[in-house]
Amino acid sequence: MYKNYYFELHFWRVTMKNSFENEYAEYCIDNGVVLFVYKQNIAIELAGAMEIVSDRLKLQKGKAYPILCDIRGIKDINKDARRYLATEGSLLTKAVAFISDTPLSQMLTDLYLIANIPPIPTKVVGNELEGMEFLLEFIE
Amino acid sequence: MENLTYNNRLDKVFQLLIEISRGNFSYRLERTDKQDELEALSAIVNIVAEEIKDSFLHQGYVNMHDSYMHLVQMIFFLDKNFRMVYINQDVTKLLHWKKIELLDLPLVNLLEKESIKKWVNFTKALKPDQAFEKNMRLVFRTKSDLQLPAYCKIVNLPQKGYSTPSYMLISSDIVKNTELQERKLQSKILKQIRRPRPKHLIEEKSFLNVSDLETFRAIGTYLKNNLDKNAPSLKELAHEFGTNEYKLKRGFKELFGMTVFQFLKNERLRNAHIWVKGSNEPFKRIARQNGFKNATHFSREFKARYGYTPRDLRANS
Repeated sequence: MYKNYYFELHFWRVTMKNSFENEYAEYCIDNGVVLFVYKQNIAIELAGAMEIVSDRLKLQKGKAYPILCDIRGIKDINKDARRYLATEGSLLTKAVAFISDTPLSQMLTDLYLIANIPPIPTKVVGNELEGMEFLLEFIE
Repeated sequence: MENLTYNNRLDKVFQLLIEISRGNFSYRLERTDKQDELEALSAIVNIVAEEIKDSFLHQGYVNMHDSYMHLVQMIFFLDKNFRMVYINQDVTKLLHWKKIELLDLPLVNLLEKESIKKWVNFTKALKPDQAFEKNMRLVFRTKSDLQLPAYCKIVNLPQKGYSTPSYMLISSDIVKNTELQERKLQSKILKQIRRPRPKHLIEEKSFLNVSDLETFRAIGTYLKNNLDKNAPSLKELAHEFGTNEYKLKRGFKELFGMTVFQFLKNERLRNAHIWVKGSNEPFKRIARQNGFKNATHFSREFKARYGYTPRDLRANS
């Protein structure tokens, strides 16, 4: 399932204008949802967190979207990056589905959800299909 | 270290927790690419150590002059091949190696993977007799294979009068003074504050209890999530959250280090900053969405906070 989804994202990258890639993640807008996939085994520090948010906002061009965020690739994230993503990271989001199915990604989402009380509907899901189902009602 | 067994890894978690219980928050666990519970546990233990260490630092920021002292920790003298010719006692204390086990070995033997690359690149690029002082973050390995990240300074030493050593490498850290142990509880509350407070408040006992703190945090969250709306009066806000105006005024300031309205303005500007930088929205709209009366008002407040105008920022984004 994951592999297919990843392939699809690559497919979108070449076929759609609305896509973006940096050192940390690949993002694209697909049918009114921002797909956001962290690359494998990445470690995020403050500069990286700022780049991640800034690139996503550029892609969204000032419009809020539901976000499907696959965080399974994150290996390590330091304190400054955690703080930044917890505040600035939720800008221009209508709802977020976090895909996390490993103990590590589960722990990171727990940490985020408990510490931050996100202002928007947020759900932890096990795969992209479940995530899309949750986000469906937030698509314009 | 891909060949680490499960028990090896678990053993290190215990070792790190023992260090934490002894008050050493500087060590970290080496992370692997494994996807099991133990990896998640290792990550959260690292995060906890990082948070505890920084919470002490935070208090240091509030009250640095009498609470903390800078202390040089490890000192290495290296010869021209970057072998250790002298180490101080802290090296043996922090890394748990004996002096005799380290002398004449290359420093690189003490580093973890990423730092080895960094060190090798750095030393390769050095020209002999070139004067330099270089700051570098290196991660050391202890004898029991915990990691010790340290900010280091490397300087080359003048040749005259020093026949063997060619370089010196030192690391320093900030340590907590024993006097501060008594203020543990207070530091927990202070951690929530983003700005230093006037000194007289620090000496006072906090009048907030845990449920008050939760109330004020909830108010902070509510304000953050309603930046576009007109700010309610303090009275309304207090009643909405089941407290009174006096308590709200005093407690909010104690928790966040600023008044409700300063907090609100701060959050509005921070939010607007990202919009200005990351989107092409007209300033008028950004101003409105963040609760400013008009674009001029917004621009003025923005300049006062950041020292540049929204226009400057967008032109340079």
